[in-house]
Amino acid sequence: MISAHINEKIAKLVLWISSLTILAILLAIIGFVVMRSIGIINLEFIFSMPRAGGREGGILSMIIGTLCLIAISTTVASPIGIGGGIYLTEYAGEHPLSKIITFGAEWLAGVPSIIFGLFGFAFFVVFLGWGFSILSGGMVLACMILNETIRTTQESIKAVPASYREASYALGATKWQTVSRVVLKSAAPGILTGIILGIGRAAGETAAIMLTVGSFMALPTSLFSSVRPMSLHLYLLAIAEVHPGAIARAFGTATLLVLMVLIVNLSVHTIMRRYTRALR
Amino acid sequence: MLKEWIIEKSLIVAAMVSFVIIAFIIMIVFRAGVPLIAEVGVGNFLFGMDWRPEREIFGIFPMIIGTLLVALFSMLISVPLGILTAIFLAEVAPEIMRNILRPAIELLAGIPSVVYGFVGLMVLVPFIRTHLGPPGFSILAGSIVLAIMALPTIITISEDAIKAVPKSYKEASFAVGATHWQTIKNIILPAARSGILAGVVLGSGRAIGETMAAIMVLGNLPVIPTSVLGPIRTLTANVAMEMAYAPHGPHRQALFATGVVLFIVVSILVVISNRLRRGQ
Amino acid sequence: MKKGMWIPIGIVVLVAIGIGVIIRAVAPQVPPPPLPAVTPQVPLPPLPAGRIVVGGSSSVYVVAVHLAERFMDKHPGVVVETHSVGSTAGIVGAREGTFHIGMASRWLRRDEPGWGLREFVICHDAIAPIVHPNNPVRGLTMKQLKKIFTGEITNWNKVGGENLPITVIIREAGSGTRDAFEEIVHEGIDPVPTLILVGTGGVRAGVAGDPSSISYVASPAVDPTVRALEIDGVKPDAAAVVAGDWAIARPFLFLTMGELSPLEQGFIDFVLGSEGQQMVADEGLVRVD
Repeated sequence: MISAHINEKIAKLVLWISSLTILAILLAIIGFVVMRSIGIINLEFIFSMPRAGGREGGILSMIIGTLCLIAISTTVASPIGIGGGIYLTEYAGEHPLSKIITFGAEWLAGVPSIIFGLFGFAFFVVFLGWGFSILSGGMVLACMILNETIRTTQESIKAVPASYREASYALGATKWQTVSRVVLKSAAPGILTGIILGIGRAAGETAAIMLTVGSFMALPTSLFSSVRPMSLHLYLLAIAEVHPGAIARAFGTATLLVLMVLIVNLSVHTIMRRYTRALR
Repeated sequence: MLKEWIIEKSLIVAAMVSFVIIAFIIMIVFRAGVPLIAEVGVGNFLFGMDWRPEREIFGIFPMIIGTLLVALFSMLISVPLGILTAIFLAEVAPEIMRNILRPAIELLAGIPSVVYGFVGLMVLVPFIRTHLGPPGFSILAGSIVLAIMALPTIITISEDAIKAVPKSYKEASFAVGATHWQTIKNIILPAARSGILAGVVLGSGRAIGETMAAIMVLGNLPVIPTSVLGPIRTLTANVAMEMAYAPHGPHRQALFATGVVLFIVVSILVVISNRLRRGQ
Repeated sequence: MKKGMWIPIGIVVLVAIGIGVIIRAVAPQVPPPPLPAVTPQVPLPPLPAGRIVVGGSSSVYVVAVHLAERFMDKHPGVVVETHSVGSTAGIVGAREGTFHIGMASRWLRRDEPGWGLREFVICHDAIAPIVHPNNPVRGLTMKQLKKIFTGEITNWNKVGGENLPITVIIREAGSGTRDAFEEIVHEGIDPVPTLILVGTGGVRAGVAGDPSSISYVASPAVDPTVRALEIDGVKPDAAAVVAGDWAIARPFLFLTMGELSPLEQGFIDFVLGSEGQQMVADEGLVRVD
């Protein structure tokens, strides 16, 4: 029995150590990036244009580029993803189609982002002739975040108690009235978190867009302008620069990207906490 | 009623989109890549040792080996760490640790891959170069970075699998006098095995599909490595680095063909993990 | 799948393609219709507002960015987008219409001249072999250079340096600099690299970070983080290229397809004019006028 007891102690110690290791890794990464960007991040960095190929100035046009991509991808992906999620949970039922579609979404989630990039390059950039543009990049990102939206919509609709629906039907509401006024209303916060997670993913994605948005540093003037989003800017600076000014700006960009993820995660948590409390 | 019909049909359309995207990806990427594989010969393409696009010699065997090696080494690091942390979260962790670890893991999952690659390039590559020998860009550096990136996938899916084990199993084990660790080791882990395996498979899929971090720290040399300190090129890096310099003719086709191989490998992994999770 | 399901799939596909085609039709993507060419003699011809997309070689990009910035300063309302994507992509892009002007840092080869591209040589450039600034080796012979890049010499002590294995860094396939370098230096032998890094900046950063490394870049890209090597006692600079002493030289090309629009004509005229050529020379390149 003593050995079992000691075993127990050792095992728990190992479990603690591995978890603390993961925490330490996270803190080290974030700490390193943030420490190296101190002194570069300020309002001027955020609100001024890059100069000398990114060695001087700020990253305003990159931030705008990222925002443009987010705007396009979420506008395209949200209605489709939410619609798909509603169909799968409320309409499809045990229909064999529902299984196929769910698997399709899962499959889509596993496809490496560079394959999306290849697809986007061949389809949007070359075949449709959109060129290296915000539109091409935004559409590729929309394809990528679609599955996230579908999945969260499904999950949050499933969490709506059946009694809500029954009550609505009892009042004589049609199916769509029930779905739109009762189910969607209570599932809205959950769906919103899906959209926000999609924003986070779109903001950080690099491989899929490096073949579709080009890398032009100026402010975009139309949907067909090429931009250089923050993630791509970070990549290009990281692989191509040793100039101290450029490296400092790369760290600044990295910190802003991490900050974006942090904001996304925080808002998801806040929404979910309110939401689960409201459902109870 | 017409309105209801229209809505239902348009929801079906929305639900079909993810499947249509998959179909489009297959159609477009395969159409561009398969003719070259057919022309070069499946054997020559998959097992060819030389990649010299300028002379139209396309063999991706070193990159297949490279991709698998990096995935394998990264799993050697992340699987033990990930599963232990999942056990910790599901079974051992006090409430406070859980509340710290969960958001930490979500943050780890949300940090863009280009940031991981950047930190790897800034920290790991110089460290390995000075302390373990040049060139620094190496399998070791890549494996560590990809291991960290695969951790969140492994942890979340394994934790779900462990939590899905019925409480009665655990109670029965306690009832016969087993310690907590004995219960975890002998009852819970075997019961959650296929779910954990699904997490590992999906995690290795993530490592195989990762592009940015791979391109930034692996050195991109398409040869079979002789040591973990040597450089390697992955399939994803091959596509990204040469496609960004969009070539034409057979070279472009060969990169799409690389994408085809990558797509097939990852799709197999998705199917396996899907089966495993359903099997639980 | 049930039979009825093909209808929604069909609708999605048709709508997707339809939207694409419509957007393509209204897109300002295709170069604007060719207007009668403006006479280049007129100083600063007033150019219509618009946008031209210039892309290709990452070596040419280094100077093209500056040229484009100056040009845009002179012509408000004109946007010259510059993309660094590699020579081959620049040539293909010019042919396919992705770029109004393609940039290449090597001569066209094999089948490429038959594509109907118009070539403008904007300057010539010396490709400089580069090493880490702390490397004691100051120069090599052409033979040694070839042997290092083809794997015959693998240690710096064979060429008068420290006892350090050489890290040979080369560019990715599709790079004009790599093509030109290998054509001139390698004499048909394949490179035996240690690392392959992406872009002019990529190899420069790689060399700057590794004391045992060697690579090559366009001479304007040599900065204090790396040091250019002398070959057979000659420094890689514009003067040596003009004198014919520097063998590893190649042209920087602008490539266009079909009729030039006034904007494209204007930009090319500017680059080939005295101001553009002065800027080119300031970058350490060999002017063509």
